[in-house]
Amino acid sequence: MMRRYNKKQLMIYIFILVITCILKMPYITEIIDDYSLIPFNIVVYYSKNNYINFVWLIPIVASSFILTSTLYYKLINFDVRFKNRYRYLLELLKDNLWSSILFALFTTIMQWLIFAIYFKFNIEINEMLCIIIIKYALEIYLLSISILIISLLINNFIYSYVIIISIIIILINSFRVPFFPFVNLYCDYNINIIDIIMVFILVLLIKSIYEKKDLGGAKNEIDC
Amino acid sequence: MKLTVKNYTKKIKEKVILDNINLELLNGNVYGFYGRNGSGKTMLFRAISTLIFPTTGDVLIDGESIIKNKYDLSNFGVLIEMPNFYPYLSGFDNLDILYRINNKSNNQHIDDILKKVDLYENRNKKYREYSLGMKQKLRIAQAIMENQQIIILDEPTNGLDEKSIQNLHNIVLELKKQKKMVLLASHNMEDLKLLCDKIFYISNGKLKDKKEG
Repeated sequence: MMRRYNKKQLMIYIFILVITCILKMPYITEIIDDYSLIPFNIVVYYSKNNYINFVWLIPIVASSFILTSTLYYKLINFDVRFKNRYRYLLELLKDNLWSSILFALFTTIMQWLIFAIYFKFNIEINEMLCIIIIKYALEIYLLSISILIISLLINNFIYSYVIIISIIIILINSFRVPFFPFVNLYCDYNINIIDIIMVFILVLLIKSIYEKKDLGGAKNEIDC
Repeated sequence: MKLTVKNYTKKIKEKVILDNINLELLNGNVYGFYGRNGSGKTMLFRAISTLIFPTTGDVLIDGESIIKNKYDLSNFGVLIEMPNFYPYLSGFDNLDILYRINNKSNNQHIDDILKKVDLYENRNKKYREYSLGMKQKLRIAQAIMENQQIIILDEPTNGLDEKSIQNLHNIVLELKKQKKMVLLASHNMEDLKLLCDKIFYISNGKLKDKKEG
C-alpha cells in the first residue's frame, strides 16, 4: 500500500553490505571455529578487537538508519487519508516490521551467499540461519522503534539516532548483560523474550506520544 | 455538514498562537481567511485538520468532536505546505499511491484530475523535475481528487501563473457548486473577494469577520 524505499537507498545499502563483506574477509576464517555457527557468525560476532566489532556492526547501523529515517519522516507527515492517527501509526509500524524482516533476510542471505561462494562453504538452509534472521529482524525493529520514540520526544531524528547507537555501543562493550535487548544478539542463539516484551512496551509508548503530538509548525521542524 | 471551532486556543511555549477562535462553517460555502504572514492562518488550518491539538477548545463536525474521538478524517482534502510526494516518482504515480490508500486504482480518474489542474502533459515527469507551480498544482490535485467534502487550501495560488490562478478559481467554484465546504487562506484579498462567501481576517492568532458576500 505504501511505498517504502527508493532505489537509491537500496543501492547504497547493497554497496555498504559489499564493503562490509570485503572488510570481513580477512577475519572470517579465524573467527569461525564451529561450522554449524557459520550463518550466525557471518552476521553477528563479538570480539575483543574493537575494529572487528565495528565492521560487524555496520549493516545493523545502516539498516536501522534507512528504516527509521523513512518511518520518522512519514510519521511527522500525517496523511488524513488514513482516517486517524491511530490507524496511520499502526499501518506504518506494521510496514516497518515487514521492512525489518526483509532487511534481516536480505542482509543475512546476501552476506552468507558471498562468503559461501568465496570460501566454498556448503550452502544449506538450516535452523541456525532461520534463527539469526528472526533474531536480527527483531533487533532491527527494536532498535528502529527505540530511535523513533526519542525522535518523537526531541523532534530530531539525527540526534536520537546518535544517542541510541551510542547507548548500544556502550551496552555491547561495557555492560554485557546477556538478556539486555540487542546485547542478547551477541550472547546467545535463542530468541530473547525480553526483546518481544520491549517491542510491545515501546509500541504502546509511541502510540501514546504520537496521538497527542503536534505535527508541523515551528515546534516540529523536519530534521531528517 | 457543519464544522465548528469552539473556543480554540493554542499556546506553544506560553506564546499564544491561536486566541479563542470561534467559527461555524457550513457546506456549500467558500470561506476565506486573510492575514499577513505569521498571522495564524496556517496554524488555524492545522488545528482544523487535527495536525495540532488545542491547549483549550475543540473542533467539531456535526456536533462530534474530531479531536477527542478517533474521527474519520478521510473526508478532508488538505493542502498545507507538507511535502507528501516522492521526488523520484512521476506526478501520476504520486497521485496513484495516495488514491490507492482508500480506493481501487483508477487511472482514468487520476488522468481527469491531472487534466483539471492542467498537469496532464507532465503526468510522467518526475516530481523532483517539476517547477514550483507544477508542484503546487499536484498538491491541489491530491486535495480534491477523492470527492472530499471539506477542502482546506492554504495559499493555493503560491507559485501559480495567472492562467493557473484562473483555473484554480474555476475549480473552487465547481467545488462550491458540488456543495462542498472550501476553506481558503491567502494574503491576496482580490482572490478571496472573488471566490468567498465570507472572509475572516486573522491577526496575531485572533479572528475577525471581514465581509459577508
